[in-house]
Amino acid sequence: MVEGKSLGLKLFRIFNYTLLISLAVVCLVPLIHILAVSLSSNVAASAGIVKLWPKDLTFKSYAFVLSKGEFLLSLWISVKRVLIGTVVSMLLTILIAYPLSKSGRELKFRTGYAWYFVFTILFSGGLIPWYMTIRTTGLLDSIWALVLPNAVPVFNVILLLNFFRGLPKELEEAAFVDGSGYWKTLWRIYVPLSMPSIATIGLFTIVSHWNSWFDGLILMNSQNNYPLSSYLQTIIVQSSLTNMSAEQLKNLASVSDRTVKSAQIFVGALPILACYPFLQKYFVKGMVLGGVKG
Amino acid sequence: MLKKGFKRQLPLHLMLLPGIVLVFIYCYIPMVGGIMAFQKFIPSKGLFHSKWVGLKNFEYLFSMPDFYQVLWNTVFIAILKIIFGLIVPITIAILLNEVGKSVVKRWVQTLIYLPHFLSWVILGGVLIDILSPSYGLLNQFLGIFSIKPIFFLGDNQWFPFTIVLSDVWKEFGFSTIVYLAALTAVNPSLYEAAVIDGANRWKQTWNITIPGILPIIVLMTTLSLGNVLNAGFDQVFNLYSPLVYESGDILDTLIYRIGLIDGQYGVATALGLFKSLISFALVSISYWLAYKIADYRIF
Amino acid sequence: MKGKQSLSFILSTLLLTSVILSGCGENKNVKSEGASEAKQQETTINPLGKYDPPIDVTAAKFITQDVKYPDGQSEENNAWESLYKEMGINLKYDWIVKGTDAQYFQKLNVTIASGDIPDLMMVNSTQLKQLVEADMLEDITDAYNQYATPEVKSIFEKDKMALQSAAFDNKLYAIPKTEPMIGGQTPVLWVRTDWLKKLNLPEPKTWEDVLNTMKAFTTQDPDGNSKQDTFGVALSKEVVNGYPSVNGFFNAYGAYPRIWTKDSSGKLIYGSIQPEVKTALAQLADMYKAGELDKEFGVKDGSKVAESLVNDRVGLLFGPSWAVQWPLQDNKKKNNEAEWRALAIPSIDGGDAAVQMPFGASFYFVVKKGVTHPEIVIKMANLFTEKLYGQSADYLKYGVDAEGITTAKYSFVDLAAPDKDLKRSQNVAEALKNTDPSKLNPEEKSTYDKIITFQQEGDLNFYGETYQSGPDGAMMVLQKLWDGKKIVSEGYGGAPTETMGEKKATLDKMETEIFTKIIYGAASIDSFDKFVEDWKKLGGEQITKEVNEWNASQK
Repeated sequence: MVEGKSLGLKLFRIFNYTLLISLAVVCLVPLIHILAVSLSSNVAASAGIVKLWPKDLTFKSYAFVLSKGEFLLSLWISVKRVLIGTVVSMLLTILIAYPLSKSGRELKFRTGYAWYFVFTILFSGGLIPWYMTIRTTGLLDSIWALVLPNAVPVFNVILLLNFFRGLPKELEEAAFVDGSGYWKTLWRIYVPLSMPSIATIGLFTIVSHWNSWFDGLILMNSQNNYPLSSYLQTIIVQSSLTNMSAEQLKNLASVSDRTVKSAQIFVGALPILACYPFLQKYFVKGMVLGGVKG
Repeated sequence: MLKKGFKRQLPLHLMLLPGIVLVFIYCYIPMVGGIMAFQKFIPSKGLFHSKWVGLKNFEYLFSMPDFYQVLWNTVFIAILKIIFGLIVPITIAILLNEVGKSVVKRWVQTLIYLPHFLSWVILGGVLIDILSPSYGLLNQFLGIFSIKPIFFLGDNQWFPFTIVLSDVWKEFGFSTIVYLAALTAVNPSLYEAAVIDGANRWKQTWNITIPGILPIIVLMTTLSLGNVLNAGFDQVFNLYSPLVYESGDILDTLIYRIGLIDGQYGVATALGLFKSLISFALVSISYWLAYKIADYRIF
Repeated sequence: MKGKQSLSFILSTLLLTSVILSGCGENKNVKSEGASEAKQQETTINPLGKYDPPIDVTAAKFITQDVKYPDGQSEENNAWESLYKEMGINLKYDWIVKGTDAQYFQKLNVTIASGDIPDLMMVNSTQLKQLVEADMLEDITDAYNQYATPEVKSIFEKDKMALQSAAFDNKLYAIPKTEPMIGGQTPVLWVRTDWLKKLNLPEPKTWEDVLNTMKAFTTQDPDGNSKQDTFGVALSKEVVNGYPSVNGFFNAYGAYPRIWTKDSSGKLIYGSIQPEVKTALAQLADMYKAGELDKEFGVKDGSKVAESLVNDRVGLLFGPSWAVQWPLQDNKKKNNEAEWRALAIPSIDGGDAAVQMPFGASFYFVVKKGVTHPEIVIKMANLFTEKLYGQSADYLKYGVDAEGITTAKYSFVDLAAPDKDLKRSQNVAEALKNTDPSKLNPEEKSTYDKIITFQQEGDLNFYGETYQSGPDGAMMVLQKLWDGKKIVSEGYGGAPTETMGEKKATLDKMETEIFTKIIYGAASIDSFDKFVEDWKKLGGEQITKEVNEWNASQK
């Protein structure tokens, strides 16, 4: 009996490790491909013969990218956006999720409030009125245009409110008995106890700020203010070839240089890829740490 | 009495206030734009001087010769994506949880999250190579089991599944994160108790782990229902071709092509409104069901 | 009940704000219209004169992805910007998009919709029509007649339809951004001549030869690796109008897909539904079956097909003159044995096929209604031709600088004579023959120098330039066709008609889908007839009517 169990367990372990590791490898392949292309010669890249290992190894494209003012500038804008945007959004997310995690008795109109927010995920007015509102509020061409209009990530709010609900009620009641109000309880008990979920939501916020490109393109008035993702979008998406002159097409071909594109994609992805391992530590420790403090 | 209660609640309402104001300004005010669905909107005339056309945009949309085919494609792809987009990450999260604390867990976690950050424009080119029937890796691999080469991107039978699987592959790592976070909230003492009771691994998973993250699963399911008409524009746009219009053309690509020729904002807004209404209905129904059946408010 | 009340509250608040929003848009329009009344009559008309005192002009600018700046310069500080300042024009950019044209027009649309358009901008034909209908643009007929220099006027003399397409009710509202489409989008036949030699094949002179060459390139292992891994001709998933597309192939059959051509009675007919298309499709279907097309062309876009070309897998391409710059030049770099030459596409009836050319102008420069100096857009056009080719030309400063950076792109307005590229090739060929570049204009001189560098030093970076614009290049082939009136140009130059706006997307989808299916053998060749019927029924007939109404109005 005991033997059977441990054999089953062993088999399961082997299966589990094999599966997870092969999945990880499959997910790594495209990135390696991009890295290989960025380190290859132009001709090899445009012949499509670079697979997972660079051909005619060269670091030219990295030298080019790192000396390119616009690339570095947009990288800086992205970092700024993520920093400001994440702080603002996380504050708002926590402030909204906490009251909404209460029952209808504790917070009047709770369900109404919840739907007020959820409604905005489901309905939108489209590009033009959205642009006009942002213009009217005077945010165009400033970093705040990338932060304020989507400062309330409703999806994250709902997620966090569900996590908040999962915390034991007794802790809060104890705090109330000690004379803490809602504000204190939120910051002293709820936030520290929810580090895994807050880290998760923080990651989502960071990633969504890092990845969104459309708002940058529409709301910024010059390339100097584009965040990295918008900038990358302007270089990796191909213009329609139908309306161009020979001159333009010729020049386009020379920049459609895949090695440089790949280098920019790779360098551009590094900061965000580095975020996750850093946040991962909260996934394990959260509960224990909170438990001790509480 | 009531007043006193409200005073006590006041801090909670105040916490909500900044969010409510921001959402009102940047989400509710722009919703005025919904009226474009009933207009022949022309940018130079603006929102309030374009011609009103009643329901004509909807009629136009629903009477397009391929509308129902496209609608079917959209729903088919979207539903498969929802189903696999839920099952795969949950499974992986549980499997990762079994790995314990090791380095392997960290690495796997980080690596499976990579593809989320590559855009479909880039992945499109890579996938054409990997899935090629003549020289693609996948078909070479299938060849070992003497399976004939499959034209994944050019065969109408396979195309929707190719879309679904490649999307799941791109996103599962990222979606896993939510469940991993939820798993950390499951009380460890429950497992200890179960071990004492002699419950094996499977039993622990079924009786403790899954019920522990059930609220998050229900929540994610409900919210993903809102996507039942979103089959993923970027992905399909970068992978489809005239060969697979039949099975791969979706509502968003259809509108995109209409818009290319004459910026049809009215029709696009009408489609948006149609999609919103359907999503709204589905999300409401599941919200209501959860409340009626389990007395549980999803949000 | 309660719910309803709160909903109506939200609604009324929304409507209130909406009134306010529309209010601001309104005001601005009124103001600018008022200003237009105060139009000043200048006493002397000087097409290249400077403004004193300087004037302020707001503008929106589109910069293509490929534009580069010399060190220390930027989009708001470069040769052209300085020139404008000198001329007393203070250009202030409301916004700049550097990216794809789609990204620019999206931003422009939201700007237009929010009622806050700049004084100067570039629009597409749909926007032009809508802005004219909304009375938001200044009529520049008089300004054009008074200010345009003979050089600018001569450009529009050569391409009359371009200027016509910017006129509504005989009033001119825009300066078309004319493009030399002959070098840009008109197909020739590109052939790997080293493969021809290897297989002892003649240079294809007749259509029969072309078909045989395709077969030989597929079956006779031209790359000599003893593998059946080459195919006859390059094709991409956008079978019509893509790159590479079937357009040139169809032209051999006298078929002109996706454009409007004049029939014998002068009426416009749609090329894709003519019976010649069916014959061409049947041939392609046969070739597909015989393995002469890439089995996977149906999912490959231009850059994927380029991989096959660079990688020595295809030896024939129906493509534009610049194909040799990209991707064929890369093929040469990868495999020095490769040789690509341009030939005229033979017609199935013998002789050279007449090839199709798109409309010469898709974008337009316009001036907002009420601007005090509407002639500014014409002056900018004048400056462009003057500084590049005129008496005070400084090509190194305003055209292409010493490092090969195209500074001409910083100019706000640009336009080109339709035969510009042809002229250049002619003059360069002449100069090469006499080894005397002294008569060349600076642009031509730069081509001349590149060709000399290639010939003397074998610098492969100029391989493309040599075989595009050199004496053995594609432009010479196109010149021959041009002289022989073997160019079929797009006959419709207006904005999309009403029915086009509604139906064209559906019809185009139907067209590419059925063409692809026929080639793949997934649909019988006779389904073409059904397509023609459907096309007519589903809006094509109406579109034909509208297009011909436009055609009649152009006379």
